Amino acid sequence: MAIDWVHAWPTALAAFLASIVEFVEALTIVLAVGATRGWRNALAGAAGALAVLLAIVLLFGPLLTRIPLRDVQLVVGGLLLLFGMRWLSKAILRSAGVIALHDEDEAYGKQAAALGTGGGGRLRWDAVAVTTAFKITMLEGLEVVFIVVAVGAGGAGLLVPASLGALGALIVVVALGVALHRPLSMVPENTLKFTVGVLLSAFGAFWVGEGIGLDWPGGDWAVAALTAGFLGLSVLAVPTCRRRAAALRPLPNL
Amino acid sequence: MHWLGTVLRELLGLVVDDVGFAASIVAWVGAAWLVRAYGQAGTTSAAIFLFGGLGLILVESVLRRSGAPR
Repeated sequence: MAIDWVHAWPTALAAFLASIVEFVEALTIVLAVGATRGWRNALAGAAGALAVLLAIVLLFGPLLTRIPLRDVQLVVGGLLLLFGMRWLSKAILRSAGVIALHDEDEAYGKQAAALGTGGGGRLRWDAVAVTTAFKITMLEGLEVVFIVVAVGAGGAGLLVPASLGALGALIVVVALGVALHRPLSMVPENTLKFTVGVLLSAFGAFWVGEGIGLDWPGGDWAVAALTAGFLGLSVLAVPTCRRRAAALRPLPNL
Repeated sequence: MHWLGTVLRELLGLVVDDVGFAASIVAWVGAAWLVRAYGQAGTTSAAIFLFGGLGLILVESVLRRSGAPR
């Protein structure tokens, strides 16, 4: 089936941006495992998890096409709305300085220290290292699968562009990881999460609306209006949250 | 079965970390469905009702958490 990219590109972009954040988090831990316990163990764990995730997508992706589209839009749109608004609220609080920014260098250091430099040597399998790489790739990858299935379930033929967006993110992150051999701390993670939170909230609201029988004014263009609405609200909320947090912060003892 | 519990917790954690926030969103979607199904509102009004409520829930949540003791 030919892909209508005029309608599919926002789906691919949302999946790409959301997936890149998750892949960066997984890469940080896989790099820590590789650097401390050997690359063979780290890559085997990550590859095993990717194979399981691919099997999940191949199993559950086609199943979605058997359920009436309106039901899928309501359920998946609802989950996407919960996921996107949760992500967006955290991104607002991080931008306002209310909660701390995620630090990939710190995560890398903590994981490397926890793993130490032990293990079974470069030529033997190291169960701890393989399991750690498998677990983090599996957990972050499950989030990617959820995002791909959720943003791809909004209409016929959107699963392929969503998958291509996630695949593009994987290629970009792996290429950067191979080139740099260190955590991708220069990725503006909160800006990405802010953007993705806005996009996922807009997609979620749109599909929930379709699922409950709303005919959005402007048809598919309503997604753009919802994106602008969530973005505007969020940008306005940041300074208000910052002022509120500052007003409630205790004064230093003089 | 420990791993299964971890996976389920992670999956639930994807969509719910503040129960009140998540419940408000679900309740508002339910309210929008009621307005659409049984109310006199037109489709544009119902769309504005859905987005407006979601926006208020988001702003209320971040303002509440900004004021919470840390």
